[in-house]
Amino acid sequence: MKCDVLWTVVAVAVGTFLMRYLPIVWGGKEQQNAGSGPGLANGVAAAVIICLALHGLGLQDARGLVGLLPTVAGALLAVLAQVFWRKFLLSVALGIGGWAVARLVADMLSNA
Amino acid sequence: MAVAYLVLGVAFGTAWVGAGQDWFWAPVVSAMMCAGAAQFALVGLLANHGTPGEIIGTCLAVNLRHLLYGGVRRYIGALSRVERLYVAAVLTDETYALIVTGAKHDSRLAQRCAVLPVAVANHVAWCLGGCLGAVGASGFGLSSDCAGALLTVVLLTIGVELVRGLGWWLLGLCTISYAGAVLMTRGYALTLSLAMSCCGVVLVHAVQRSPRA
Repeated sequence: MKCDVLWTVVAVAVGTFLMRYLPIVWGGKEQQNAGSGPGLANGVAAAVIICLALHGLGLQDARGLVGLLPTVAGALLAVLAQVFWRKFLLSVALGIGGWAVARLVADMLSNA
Repeated sequence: MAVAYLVLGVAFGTAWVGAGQDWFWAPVVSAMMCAGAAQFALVGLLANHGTPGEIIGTCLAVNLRHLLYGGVRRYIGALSRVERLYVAAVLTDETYALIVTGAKHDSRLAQRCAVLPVAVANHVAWCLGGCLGAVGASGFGLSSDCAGALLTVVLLTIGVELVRGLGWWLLGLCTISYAGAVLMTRGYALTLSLAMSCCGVVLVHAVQRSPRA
């Protein structure tokens, strides 16, 4: 890793730590009194995770239907498995399995 | 949750090597930052040769939500200073959620038993996953495509559980935000959708807490 990258990582790590620690030291009581505690924080965290997941589907990339097929198929399989069975590892395994199979199919389609 | 962190960590380690970085820095970066979304943003910007200013600005913007996590103070107040510093350093979204949804413990011993194991387990799993992913990518040819798919699948699976707990309106809000962001600007779709959906969550929270609601 280059020196500037290392210092960038250190700067982000220090900034992140301060963002986490300072509200605990100074803002904790105010946040609790204002009632903006767990509910709002959990909602924001969930929104970040869902947006990252939607971004991971690659809908913003111009890859075409065949290019999108593997990720979307794997994601759909994982979501359905989680909705119906609620087994985290099973859902992830099915999702990755679905992605691998769909990738094979997409490769065959693009080669044909 | 630690298993989820392990899988996410593998995706990060693979993406880290895919961005042209040395494998052994992946667990070090994970140990130092312990911030999933910001680390993935960091990898993307490093791969696209972002400037230090862009990288620091984007990563800290992604982590702005941590300013809301001050409420965790009541759950870690009885810990020693070093323990509080550690929990603050590794406080992720999921660790925060696990701590605040657990029973409130007042004594130091109870907080040590309830809070510290959660923080340590998630942190260790995240670093271990990063190490495994980086080794897999550099030594065994684990592709960044596979890591990207793994990341998406894990995030969606976690997202299903979050939506189940918080309400399906959240999925609608995020989907509309993301679709709108893609229509407006493809290059900054993620940043814009994060901003819009977080503003939406704050708005919904405010409406739900208003006296008339």
